[in-house]
Amino acid sequence: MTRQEFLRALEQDLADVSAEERAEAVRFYGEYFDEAGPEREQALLEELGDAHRVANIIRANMGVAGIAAVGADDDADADGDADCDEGAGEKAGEPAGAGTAQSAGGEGSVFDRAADWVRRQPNGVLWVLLAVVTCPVWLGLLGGLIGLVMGVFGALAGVTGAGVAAAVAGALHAASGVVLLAASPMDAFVRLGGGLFCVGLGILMTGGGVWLITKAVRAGIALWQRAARLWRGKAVR
Amino acid sequence: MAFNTGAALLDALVLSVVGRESTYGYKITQDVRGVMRISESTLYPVLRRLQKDGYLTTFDREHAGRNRRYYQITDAGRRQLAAYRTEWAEYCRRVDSLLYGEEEA
Repeated sequence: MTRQEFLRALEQDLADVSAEERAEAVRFYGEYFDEAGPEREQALLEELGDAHRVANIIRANMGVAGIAAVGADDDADADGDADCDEGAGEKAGEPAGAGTAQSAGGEGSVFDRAADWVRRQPNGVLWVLLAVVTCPVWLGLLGGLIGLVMGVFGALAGVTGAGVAAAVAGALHAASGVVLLAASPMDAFVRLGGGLFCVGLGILMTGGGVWLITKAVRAGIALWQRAARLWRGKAVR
Repeated sequence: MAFNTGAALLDALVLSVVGRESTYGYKITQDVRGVMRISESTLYPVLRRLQKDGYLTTFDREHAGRNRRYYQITDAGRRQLAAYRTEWAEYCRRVDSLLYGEEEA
């Protein structure tokens, strides 16, 4: 292997970290080779070993700001080390995730490649994939919810509308009764009474409907705000 | 902050080396290798983390026609180094007392 091959392999292996981290690591080791000079290049490559191992060491130490880093000493160097050897406590150079992918079915098995591919995807992509796969469930639920809300508002609107209609019809009926008062009083009183009753009923229905609609809208807004607050809270965390 | 894990010791040594004189990654590694046997790949994560924790900063300087990134200790880094030195003195004292202590009669 040459230095270029090593650096390229390292860059590819670090595809799952941020661009900044990847560039930093490649730059550091590029400069490291520069300093070592061409005479030491082979020895250095031998000691560094496999780019995948180096990438794992970098990954293992990435999420651990403020906590002591895990050093990964080559076994070759570790014989007879004094107790202050940095490898002593943790021989955990290979983090569990990447390590198992390597050992499981042998390098390059389908599952390893698939697992690696999944790991490389940024979180956003995985969430979208999940949403697509489960869409029958959540689309159905969403549709049902929308139907329910529309049904409630439809019913309330209907009550309100019917109330208006009843009031208007009732008023007209009562008016027709007034007109007939002189001609046939019995008929007139029936009309007046019935009409006024309908007006009253209509006002009740309209008033009730409007009141219920405003309550429902306010409740909906409150729920929405609470949900938005929860979502924002999660995002802040 | 104990020296049970060699990792804290590594941090301390790196901070001390850089504290003496701002220097570059390869040189830091070779200096530390003078004291303990570590792999050539051990120090990069240490340097990166010390940087992210605000104990080190970097600057670039040209050398022999190519770029060299130097590490420099910050004030926070110096305070941390002082803390490590105190811890180390205490740790050595305790280890010595157990290692060399008089056996109870």
